[in-house]
Amino acid sequence: MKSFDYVITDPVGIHARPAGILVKEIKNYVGSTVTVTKGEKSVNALKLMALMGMGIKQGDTVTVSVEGENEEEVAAKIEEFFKTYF
Amino acid sequence: MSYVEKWLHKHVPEMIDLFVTPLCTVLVTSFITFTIIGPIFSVFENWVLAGAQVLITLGWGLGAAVMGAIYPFTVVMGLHHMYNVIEAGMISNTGVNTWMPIASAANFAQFGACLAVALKVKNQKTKSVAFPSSLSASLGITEPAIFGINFRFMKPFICGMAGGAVASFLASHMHGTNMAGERVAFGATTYGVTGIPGIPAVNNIGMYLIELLVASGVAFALTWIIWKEDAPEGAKKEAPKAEPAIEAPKTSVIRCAAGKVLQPTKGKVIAREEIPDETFAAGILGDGVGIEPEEGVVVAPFDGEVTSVAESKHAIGLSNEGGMELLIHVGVDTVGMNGDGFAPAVKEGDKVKAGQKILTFDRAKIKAAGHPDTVVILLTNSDDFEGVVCGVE
Repeated sequence: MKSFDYVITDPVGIHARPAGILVKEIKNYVGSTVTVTKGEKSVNALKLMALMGMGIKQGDTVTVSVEGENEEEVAAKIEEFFKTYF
Repeated sequence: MSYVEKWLHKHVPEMIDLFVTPLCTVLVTSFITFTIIGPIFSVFENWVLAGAQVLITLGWGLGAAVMGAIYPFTVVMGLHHMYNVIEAGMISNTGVNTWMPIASAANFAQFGACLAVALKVKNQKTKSVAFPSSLSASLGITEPAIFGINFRFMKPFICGMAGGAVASFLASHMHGTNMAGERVAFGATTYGVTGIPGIPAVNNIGMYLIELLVASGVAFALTWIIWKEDAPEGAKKEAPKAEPAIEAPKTSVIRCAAGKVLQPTKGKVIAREEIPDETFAAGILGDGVGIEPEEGVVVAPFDGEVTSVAESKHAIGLSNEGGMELLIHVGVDTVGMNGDGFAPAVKEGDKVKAGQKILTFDRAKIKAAGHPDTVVILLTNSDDFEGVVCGVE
């Protein structure tokens, strides 16, 4: 399992639109399970509604964990993604 | 008998046990019964018999009245068969069974009470039980009437007791003629029948009919006056809190194998591609439609559960039993309004019914903030389902 922490910089945090984009991105990585954790709560990043429900806002620190095939690679890609969009 | 048998089992060689034990058991116990037990108990029996006869004639018929009143209780307890012994004893003793009129009075009174219920009650089910029960009671079989109606409602039972008492009292003063033409106490020449089938059994039919009339008449009248039907169940329950009826929307906007998404907001339905937002229009969050709202109300588009309510209150996630995960997002970029102008009516975990209000929003505020107020409805897991069709129907 590979994970990284990230502080959300986007003023709108992770909500509908960006969450949707994230989900779409993760769907590409078929062999991996991506989990996003904020504080106590963890959700499978593919679950759009759950992700949105977490209300991740600007300034929140989240931990993103990737498990599965090519976890190193996938984790790196997702981190890039986060930096770009969030 | 069991003691004898057990003793024999222990002491008899196994080989002959099978035929010897039962034979000896019966022989021994019947011998004892006839020679010892019988004579002793017949003395007791005679006392009971004498006692019963005295009771009936006691106090100018008050004893009879008491018996007539408690008779139906013995029916409830199933003890009323023991009277046959008394009755048989009476017949062999004096030739007249003066117990029967009491039993008839009691039974026919239960008939009267039951009939009153049958005629007075409005509840059809009860009626359909009461009529046949009263009929069988008039023929001497009172269990249906008692257990099914009178004892159940209690008041008719008590009225029956009253009728039985009065008529028994009356009967104890009546007289009849026996086979030899002598004037004797009013009663029957046999036992085992009461009510209408008892007519050929009594020694004065005219008196008997009067007795039956009194028994049933008193019981009927009392029941009619005293017993009232319980209010039907529906009226008893407090009227449910007046809630405006939840009406499910009539049109659907998304349909698939797992269910329908009804239109949650009144207004013009537009295709997903026409939603004024790139992400939504591109279908990144799933397939669906947009609605140009006419009013600031969102209702649940299906029966399901609220899976999430955005912190900025402008979006709600719902799921249904079929596994559909729906996103209702009010306005474009409205997350930036931080909840001002949005009022969710539900919270995460709430169960909702189609048509139930889940969110209200202020269109003016959204416009003032410079955002389109398009209500976006997307089936976020549309990829998981077959035959997803979007558009108004």
